[in-house]
Amino acid sequence: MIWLLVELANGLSDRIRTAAELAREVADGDLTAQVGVEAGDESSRLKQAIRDMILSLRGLVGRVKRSSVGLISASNDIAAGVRQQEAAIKEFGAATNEIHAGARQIAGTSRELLNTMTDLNDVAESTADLAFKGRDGLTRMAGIMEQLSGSTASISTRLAAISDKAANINVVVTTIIKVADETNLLSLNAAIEAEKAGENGLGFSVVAREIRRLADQTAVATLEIESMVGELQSAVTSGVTQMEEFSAEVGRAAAKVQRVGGQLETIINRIRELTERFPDVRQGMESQAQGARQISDALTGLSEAVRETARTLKDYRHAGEILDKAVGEFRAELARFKVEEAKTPAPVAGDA
Amino acid sequence: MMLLIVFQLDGHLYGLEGAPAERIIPLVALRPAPHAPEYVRGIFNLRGRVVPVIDMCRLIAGHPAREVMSTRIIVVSFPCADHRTRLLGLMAESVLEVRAVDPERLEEPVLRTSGAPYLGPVIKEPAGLIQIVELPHLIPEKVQRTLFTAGGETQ
Repeated sequence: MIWLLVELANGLSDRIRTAAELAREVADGDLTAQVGVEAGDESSRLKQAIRDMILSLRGLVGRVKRSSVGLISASNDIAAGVRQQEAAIKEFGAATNEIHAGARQIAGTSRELLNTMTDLNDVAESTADLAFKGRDGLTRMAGIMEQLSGSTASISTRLAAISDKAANINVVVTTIIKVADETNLLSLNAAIEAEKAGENGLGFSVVAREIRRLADQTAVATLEIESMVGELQSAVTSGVTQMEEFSAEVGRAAAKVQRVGGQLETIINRIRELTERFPDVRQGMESQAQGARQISDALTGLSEAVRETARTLKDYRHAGEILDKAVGEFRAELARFKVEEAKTPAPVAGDA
Repeated sequence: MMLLIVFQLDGHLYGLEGAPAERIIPLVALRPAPHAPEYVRGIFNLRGRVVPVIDMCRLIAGHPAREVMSTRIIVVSFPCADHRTRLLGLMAESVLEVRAVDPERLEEPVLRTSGAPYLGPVIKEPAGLIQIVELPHLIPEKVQRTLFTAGGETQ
């Protein structure tokens, strides 16, 4: 009996030991053990319970291992994405800087152009002013030339009148000369007649001589007048010619003045058109400068945002690293559990 | 005293005796005398009588007299070789003066040429030398005959 009891006790103790060994294996992480369950006693129920636990744990650990693979891959993806984003942000930052520099340059050039336009406007205004003055001067000159032309015409008319009068004087002088000549001839014939009359003609010859003397004096005087009138006439004629030439010269000069005046008028109009467009150009340049400034400002904001993003990405990266490390540790822990000899995946390194 | 009708030729003074002079007339339109000697300027009608005119300039200096106001025709009674007198016109320039001179003061010319037998004695006057043109020797006999065929005698 005792032996039987002892035998019984020994049998029970063996089964419990087997169960305890199983439990130890599970505690050590080996979930591969095959548990044979016989029908019967309390220890069989214990073994059953242990086998159920092992099966349940094996399923859980298997699922967790599979999930951990996905976790690693996600972590890797996140890290890659962060790196990509960091590179993109870096590029974006560089591009932003370039755009910024470009915008600043545009703004600077616009300002310079604006200054140039202001200078140009000043020059155009002073040119227009000069042209105005020139045109006024020419208008005055044209007026003076017109007066001059009128004056020369009136002088020419007067000279012509003088010439006519001189011609009249000449007619009179010619008449006087003719009379003097005839008187001379008369006196010569009288002298010849007196000679023929001999003693009786003596007194008559004295009279004839006297008449001849007077006639000669008259002729000399009239000849002098004639030459003077002739000189006067030639002087008047050359005066008229000179006046006509002068008048023609004045006319030509007036035409030139008019032409130059017309050209100045054109210049003034062109400059006016030009200066009318200046405000538009200026406005355009100002708005361009303003636009460039706005772009510059916006880029400053954007740069700040980029820097912020970069900082955030660094944080992300840090978080990713932590995540990675955690996943590694988690995997190492998981590796301790043997689920199936063949299917157990190798433990994954912390970073990928 | 002797009366001289004074005329000028190229700036020199010549005198014609006043006694044969009929009258002095202004220039008239002359009718040319073809084939006559060059010094015959032409003919004209003087109160119904045809009078030939000798150009004194042409005769003495070889160039025609200018037709100016003081150029006149001295009408003379020309003593022809046949001892008759006929009317003859003498065209001369600057006929402006008759002058009474003393015949005693006449001097024989330094030279006489056969080409100008009519250029006679000279007389010194304040205005310059006056050379007397001797009327009878003015035209050669042969020419006289051609000029005065139609009569034209003076009374």
